[in-house]
Amino acid sequence: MVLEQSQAKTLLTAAEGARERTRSVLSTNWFPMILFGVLALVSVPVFEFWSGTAVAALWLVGAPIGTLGTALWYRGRAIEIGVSAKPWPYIVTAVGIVVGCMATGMAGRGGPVSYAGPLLIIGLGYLVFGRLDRNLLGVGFGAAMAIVAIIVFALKPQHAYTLTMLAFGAGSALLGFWNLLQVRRPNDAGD
Amino acid sequence: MPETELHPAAELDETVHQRVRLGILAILSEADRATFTYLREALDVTDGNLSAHVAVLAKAGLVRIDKAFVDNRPRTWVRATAKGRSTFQAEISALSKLVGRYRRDIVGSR
Repeated sequence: MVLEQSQAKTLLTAAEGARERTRSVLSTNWFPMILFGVLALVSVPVFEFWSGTAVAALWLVGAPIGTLGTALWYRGRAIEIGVSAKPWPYIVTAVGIVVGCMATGMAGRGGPVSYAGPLLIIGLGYLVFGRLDRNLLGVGFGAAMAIVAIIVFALKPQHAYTLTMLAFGAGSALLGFWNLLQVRRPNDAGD
Repeated sequence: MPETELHPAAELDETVHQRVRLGILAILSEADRATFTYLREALDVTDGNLSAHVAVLAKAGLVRIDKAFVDNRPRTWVRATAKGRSTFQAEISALSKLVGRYRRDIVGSR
């Protein structure tokens, strides 16, 4: 019986190792993190030096194209590395973020809801992505963005759009570059 | 443990209770699908060895094999069926119980 039980432990360890490595390969997300982070950062000068309408146009065009680009990137990556995650939870969450941001952005009519609403939706969306990837950093970032959205809604500071987009853009891009560094490390699972 | 309770080893599935086959299902429990190449490299086995084990799992209805062409090159994708996922979870649960019982036995014998 001792042999059976030690074999059980070996099998469990091997299975958990295989799951862990696959999870690590699948949780690579640098492309959308950098893409949407940079898009948010680019939207700041557009808002400050141009107009709110130009920012709305930037997001109306950029968000769907970015989402489509992200879907194509994940598809190409799956073919390249030979393993893919279940796509539907990610697609539903991404579409929910885009539609939710557009709806709250337009419904807010330039008021606090128009900048705090989209950030709250983005935060909750990143929280879901982090949960799907079992990525603690992603969950933490999503939760932080949701809290920032609530604070901004409550305090209504000046330059609220700029503050929220700088927080989101810089955070997302930094996490993206961190993820890129992780997957580019020699002898590491990833791209 | 009561006399009537089965030993955890009795709950092990003969088809899945093997390192490579359990490894295949472990990977497919995390992923939607994986290629033959990914599985071979992740589990460090030969083509022939992997083919034999995948065939056993497919025959038992635990995995499904899809063949597709990418850039005119054949690709074989393997994905777990619903039965495969539940069988894997049951196997992990049985193995965990077995390891837990082992730990209890060691502590009890001290």
